[in-house]
Amino acid sequence: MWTWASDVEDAMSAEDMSLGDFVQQILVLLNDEKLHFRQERPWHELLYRLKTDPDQQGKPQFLRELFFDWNGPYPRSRELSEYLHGLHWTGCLSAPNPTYDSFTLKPEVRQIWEQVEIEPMLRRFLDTVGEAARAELVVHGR
Amino acid sequence: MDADFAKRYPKLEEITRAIDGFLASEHPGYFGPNPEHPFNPLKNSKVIHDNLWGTNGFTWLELALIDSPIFQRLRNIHQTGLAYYVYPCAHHTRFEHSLGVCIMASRVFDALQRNEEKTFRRIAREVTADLEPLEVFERWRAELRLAALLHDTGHSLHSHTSEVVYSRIPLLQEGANELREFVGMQKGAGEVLSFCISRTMAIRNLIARARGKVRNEADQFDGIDFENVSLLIVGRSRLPQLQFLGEIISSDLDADKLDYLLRDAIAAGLPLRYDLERYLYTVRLTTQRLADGEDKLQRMYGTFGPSPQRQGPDTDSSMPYYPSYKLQLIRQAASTIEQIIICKFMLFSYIYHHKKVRAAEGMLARLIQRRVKKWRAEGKDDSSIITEFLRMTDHSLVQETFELKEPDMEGYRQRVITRLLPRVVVSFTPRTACPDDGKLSAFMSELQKPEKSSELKGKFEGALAERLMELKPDLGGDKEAVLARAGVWFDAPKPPKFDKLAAISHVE
Repeated sequence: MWTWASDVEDAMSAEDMSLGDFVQQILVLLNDEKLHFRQERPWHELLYRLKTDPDQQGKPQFLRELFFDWNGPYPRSRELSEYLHGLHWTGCLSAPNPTYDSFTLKPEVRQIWEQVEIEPMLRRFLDTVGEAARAELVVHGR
Repeated sequence: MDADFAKRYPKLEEITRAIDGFLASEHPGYFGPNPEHPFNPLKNSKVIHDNLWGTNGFTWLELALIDSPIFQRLRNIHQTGLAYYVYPCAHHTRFEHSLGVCIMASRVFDALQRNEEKTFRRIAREVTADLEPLEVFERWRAELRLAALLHDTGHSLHSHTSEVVYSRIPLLQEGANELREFVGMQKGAGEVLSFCISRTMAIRNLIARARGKVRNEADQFDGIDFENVSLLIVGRSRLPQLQFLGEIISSDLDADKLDYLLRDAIAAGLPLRYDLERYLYTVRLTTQRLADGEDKLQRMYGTFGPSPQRQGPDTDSSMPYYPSYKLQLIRQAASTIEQIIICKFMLFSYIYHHKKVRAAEGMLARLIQRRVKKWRAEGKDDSSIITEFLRMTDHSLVQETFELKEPDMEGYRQRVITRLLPRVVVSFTPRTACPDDGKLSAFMSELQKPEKSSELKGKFEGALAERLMELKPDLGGDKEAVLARAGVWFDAPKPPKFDKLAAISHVE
C-alpha cells in the first residue's frame, strides 16, 4: 500500500524533495496568512531566484533542474502553476468569493503536511526561504 | 541554418527525417522521389463551407496542403476521442477543427489589423523595411493560416487518448526536451510531432510543386517563411515583434480554443456559447517584455540569421529582454473571458472527464500500450513506432493493427468497439473531500505532483491487484496481467489549465 509522507521512516532530504513537497512546506511555514491566488508572479520569481542563486546548503535538487518558460516579462514554471491550480482543484486551498484574489490552506491538510519529517539542513534552508516567501507571497494590508 | 539546427537538436532532426522517410514510402505519389500530385491544375482559391463558421475561402497554397494525405488523414481522427459513446453526435474530426482554427486565426488576425492598424504598420516597418506594409500583412496572414492548418497534423488515433501513450516514447520525450530548450517553452508530444511535420521536406516540396500547377499566377509563395510557420505552431515567431502571431495559434485564448470550445459543445449538443464578436471587437496588441534570463530566446532567434537586438537589464528588469507585442483582451471583454472559462470548465465536466468517456479511453489507452509493447518485441525502434502512430487513425482499431492475438486485449478491443465499458467502482472528488479530515485532499494533492503521481497510481493499482488475487485466484499471479484481465485501473484526470490566462486578459 502507498503511505503518507509522514509514515515514511526516513526524513525528507534535499534529494527527495519535489516541487510539490516544497510548495507544501512553504504553505505550512506561512501558517494562516492569505496568499496571492491570481497573481502567481511572486511565486515564479521566488523559485527562479532560488534556482539561480549561488548554491546554498540544503538547497533541494529539484530547484537546480526546474524548467522555466520564457514567454513574458518573468520566467514562469508551468509545473508550479499547475501544482498551485491542482491544490485548488483538490480542495487543499480555498479561494473565497467574490474576488478570488487570495487563498488559504485548509487547516486539516496543514496538519498532515506539518507532520512530514525533514532533514535538519533542508529545514534550515526552508526556514530561510520561508522568510523571503512571507515578504513576497503574503497579501498585505487586508 | 538547417545544418546548425540539426547539430543542436539532433533528436528533433531524427524525428523529422523519420517522418520524411515514412511519408515518401507511405504516399509515394505525393512525397516519393517521383511524385505525381497535385495531378490536376489548382484553382487560385476555393470555398469550403463549415457548419460553424459558414462560407470561407482557402488559397491554392492551403489547398495543396489540405488535399494531401498529411491533412486528409485528420478526417478519420475524432476530435473528442471516444466521447461519441456518450454524446452520439460528437463525431466531428480533427479535419474540420483544423479548418476552423485556420478560419479563426485569420479572423483574429483581421480584427487585430483593424483594431491596431497603426501598431501593425509600425511593426511591419520594424521587421521589413523593403516591403509595402500590406504585402507584409499578407505574408503574416498566409504563414499564420498555414500554421493553423498544420497545428494538429501530429495527432493519432482518437486524439489525446493515443497522445498519452506516444508521449512516453523515449525519442519523442528527448525531442520534446530539445524543443523546450529551443523555444524556451514546454510543449506536448502532439505539438512536437506537428512541429516536426511542418519542418519536413515533404511539405515544402509539395507546396513548391503545387505552385507550378496553379491555373493563374501564383502569389504568396515567395514570401512564405516555413521556419516561421513551424515556430508559430508552438506559439513562437521568428522575431520577437511577431510573438503575437504565435499567441494566435498557441496560447490560453488562441484560435484553437475559439474553434474547439464551440465545435465540441455544439457537436455534443451542449448549450455552451461565448461571444466571438465581442472577442474580435476587443482583441488588441500590447507591448510586453520577453525576459531572456537564460539566453534561450537569443539562441532561438539567432538560429534563423542575425539575432535581433536584446535590451537591458535596466531599472525595470533584472534580466535581458526583447521588446515584443502580445495578444490582449481589453477590460470590456471581461464577460467574454468568463464565458470562455465557463465553456472550458463545462466541457471538461460534461465531456472530457465524463466517467464513461474516461472508461472508454482508459481501455483504449491500455490497448495502445500493448500494441507498442508488441512492436518493441518485434524489434521496432522509436522512430518506427512514432511513424506507426502517424499511420494510425481511428479506423486502425477495427483493422489488423489491433489484432494482437492476446485474449485479454482482444476482449478490450471488442469491448471498446461495442461500448461494453467498465463501471466506476469508487469515486473520490473534491466534493467528497470537503467534509473529511484532510487526508483525502492531501492524497489528491499528492496525485498532482508529476513526479509522484505515477508512483502513487502504481502503488494503488498494485494494492488493488493483490486484493483481486485474493478474491479471484484464477486471475493469475502477475499484477499487471491481473489488472488487465479484471479490467480495473486507477484513473486521476487532470484539471483544465488556465495558468496563462491572467497574462493575456487585461481583467485583473
